[in-house]
Amino acid sequence: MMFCSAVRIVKSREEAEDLVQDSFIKGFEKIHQLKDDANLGAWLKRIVINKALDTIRERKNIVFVDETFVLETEQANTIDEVPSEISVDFIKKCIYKLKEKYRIILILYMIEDYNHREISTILKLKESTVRNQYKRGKDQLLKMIQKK
Amino acid sequence: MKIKEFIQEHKAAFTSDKMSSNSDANFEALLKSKLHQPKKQKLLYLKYISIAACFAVVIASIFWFQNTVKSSQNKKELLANLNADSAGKRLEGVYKFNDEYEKEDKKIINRLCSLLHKDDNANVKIATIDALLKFPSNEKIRKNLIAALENEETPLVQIKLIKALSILRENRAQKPLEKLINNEETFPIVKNNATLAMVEINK
Repeated sequence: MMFCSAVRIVKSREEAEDLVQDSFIKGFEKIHQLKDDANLGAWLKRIVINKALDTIRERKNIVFVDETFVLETEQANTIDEVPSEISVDFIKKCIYKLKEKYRIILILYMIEDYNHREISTILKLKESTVRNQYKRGKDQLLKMIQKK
Repeated sequence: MKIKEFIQEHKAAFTSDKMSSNSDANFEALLKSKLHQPKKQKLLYLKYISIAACFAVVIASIFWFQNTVKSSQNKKELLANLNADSAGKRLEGVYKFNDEYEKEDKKIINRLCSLLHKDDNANVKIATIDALLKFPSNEKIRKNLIAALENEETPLVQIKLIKALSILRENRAQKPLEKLINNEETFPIVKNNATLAMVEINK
C-alpha cells in the first residue's frame, strides 16, 4: 500500500522502493515519537508520502506556492461525470499527464483519502490554495477524459 | 459516476503495484547497516564520556593536590604559631584553629593539650579551652580538661575549665571539683562555680 502511494507520487518504481525502505528505517528510529493512541499504519504512510514529496521537490525543483486567489466556486465548466466504460489505466495515464502541482493534490485527495486540510498541512499550503488547485486539476483531468 | 467515486470504486487497480523481490535483500542490508550504526554511536559516546571522565579525574586530582599542599602549608603555619615564643602568636594560632579547622587533627590537638597544661599565659589557656570544646566527643580532650582542672592554679582558667566540663557534663570531673571546693586556698568565686557545676553534672 505504501509502496503504491510512493510510486504514484514519484512515478518511478526504483525510487519508490528506496524511499519506502528509507521511510521504514526512519519510522524505526522515530518510533518513540509515536503517541500510544496513534495509528502506526497512517503514521508510516505519512512518512512515506513526505519522503516522496521531498524526492520530487529535489528532483524537479518543484515548489508548492500559495495562491491568493478567491476560492473558486464548485460550479465548473466541465461536468464531473465519467463514462462507466472508461478504463482505470486510461485514468491513471491522464493523472500522470497532469501538471505536477495538480497531480499531487489529486492523488492525495482522491486516492490517498486525505482531506483538503490534511493536504494543506502536508504541502505547507493554505487550505484555499489546495481547494483551488484540486478543482483546476480535476477540471483538467475531466477534460482529458472527455476528449477521448 | 463522479470521478472520485469511480477511483474509489476501482481503488484496488490503483494499488496493485508490488515491490520487487530484490528489494527484500536490499532492505535487509539497509536495516543491518542502520541498526549497527547506533552501536557504533554508542561506542563513540562511551569513548567521549571516558575521555571527559579522564579530564574530570585529572582536574579533580590537580585541585585535590593544590588543596592538600595549601592545607599542609596552613597546618605548618598554625603549628609554628602554636610553638611561638610570643603569647600573642600562640593566641593567634589558637584562634586560627578555632576559626578554620572543622576536622580533628591529632598533631594540633596534642599541641593544644600541651598548651593547656604548660602555657604561662592565662589568655592562651582560656582560648585553648574554647578551641578544644569544638570536639566534645574526643576522649583525649575530655581527659586533658579533667587533668588540667586538677593542676590549674589560676582562678580565671579554673573557672573556664569548670564551665567547660559542666557543658560537657563530665562525671569524672566530680573529684577534682570536690577537691577545689574543699581547698581553703581556692577563690570563693571559683568555689561557687565548682558547686554550680557539680549540681549541673549531677542533674
